[in-house]
Amino acid sequence: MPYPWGDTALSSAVLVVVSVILMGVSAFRPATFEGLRGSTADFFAPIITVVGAPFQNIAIFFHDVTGLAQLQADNRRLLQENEKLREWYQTALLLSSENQSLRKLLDMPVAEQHSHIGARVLSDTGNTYVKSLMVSVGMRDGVEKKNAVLSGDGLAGRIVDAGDHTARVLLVTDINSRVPVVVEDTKQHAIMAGRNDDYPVLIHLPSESVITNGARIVTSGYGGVYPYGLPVGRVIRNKSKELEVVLFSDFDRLHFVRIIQTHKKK
Amino acid sequence: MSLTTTEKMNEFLRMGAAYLLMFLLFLMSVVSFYTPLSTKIEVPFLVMIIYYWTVYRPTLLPPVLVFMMGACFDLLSGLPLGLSSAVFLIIRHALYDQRIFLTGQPFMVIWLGYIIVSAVALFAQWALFGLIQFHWTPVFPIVLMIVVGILLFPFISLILNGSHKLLPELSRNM
Repeated sequence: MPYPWGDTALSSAVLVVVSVILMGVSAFRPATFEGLRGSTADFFAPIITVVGAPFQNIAIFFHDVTGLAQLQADNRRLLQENEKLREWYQTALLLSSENQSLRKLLDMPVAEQHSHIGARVLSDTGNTYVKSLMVSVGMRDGVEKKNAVLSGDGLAGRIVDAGDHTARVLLVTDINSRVPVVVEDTKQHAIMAGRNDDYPVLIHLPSESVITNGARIVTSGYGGVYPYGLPVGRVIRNKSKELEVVLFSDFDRLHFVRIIQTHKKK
Repeated sequence: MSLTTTEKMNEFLRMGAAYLLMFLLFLMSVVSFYTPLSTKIEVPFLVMIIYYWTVYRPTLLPPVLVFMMGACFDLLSGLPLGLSSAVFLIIRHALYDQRIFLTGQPFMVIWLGYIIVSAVALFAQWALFGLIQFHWTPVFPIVLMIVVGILLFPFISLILNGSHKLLPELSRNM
């Protein structure tokens, strides 16, 4: 019986041409298919979650078993850190209130206020070419394109496609990721560029800039996508004399993220 | 000779099992797997599906379905739309002419065929992506993906063979 969808060289050729046209549009006008990407993600998300769950659980199980001793040590260290952080929290509240009062005195606009929304990582949809995650919140939850995404440890990426119930996060390690950053101690500005590997590099630095190994970098707030001060990682100079960033976020073990929503204060 | 309702239902279910397996493998190609050592591995399930069904039952996977599969993969994984579709369609077309030779061959020849096809498909995908992005991504993950695919192909083809045996005889090799 002949197949209803047709199986001729012509149909293959026509579809290859269509694919090439789509590829061209996608390359030169990536925004064209944003809606379609969001809808496709919304449609597949529940099934992907079900299919991915056993593998995610197996990974968590192995991680838990192999890391039991590490967990106990971490717990002790975290308890001590927590004590110190409580003291710092009170100090931070005091400084924040003092800062706002002083800004008002100087007649400067009060900095934008940010709220965040928690989301579960549905699946790691990244591959060799694109480093991305699918998360369980979308436009109906107030998530918008370009919202910054944080892991528990530091900056993870930004929202690039948002469907109604799901969104795709482009990780800072992706080759299309560019994050304006600042070295915390020297206030040297730079751009952190992803390379599709674990260590993004710092680019657009003045040749005379001196950056020490292990210096902490945070987002600079330039460009308006990432708010100022989000922790990113530490700088390490590699064998090729490039300044690589060891990220605070561990993408292999990312199960929950925080999405930062920007609200202008009225 | 027309089929009775029960026979039609029987055929539908048999075909459905093959498509369900295909759909499952498609979804598994979108999600990532981590080894206990926390290494991420990618398995080219889509290349396996296209290779197996183009050789043994091309009517089950017509060009339009290959196109849709590639497009959905691109949309979900963030690749430029059309990239995987173009590569998979060309691979399917090239394989289609060789299938008469391949169908009667022992498994070792089929496996060798898969090695060549997967290497060509994944390197073509890598090259196209590099041209579009003006940036060459590292080759090592591609080589790793090809090797993982080669190692897993016998198991996956065994599963696909199971669903192949379920398919109704009437349309076999059409």
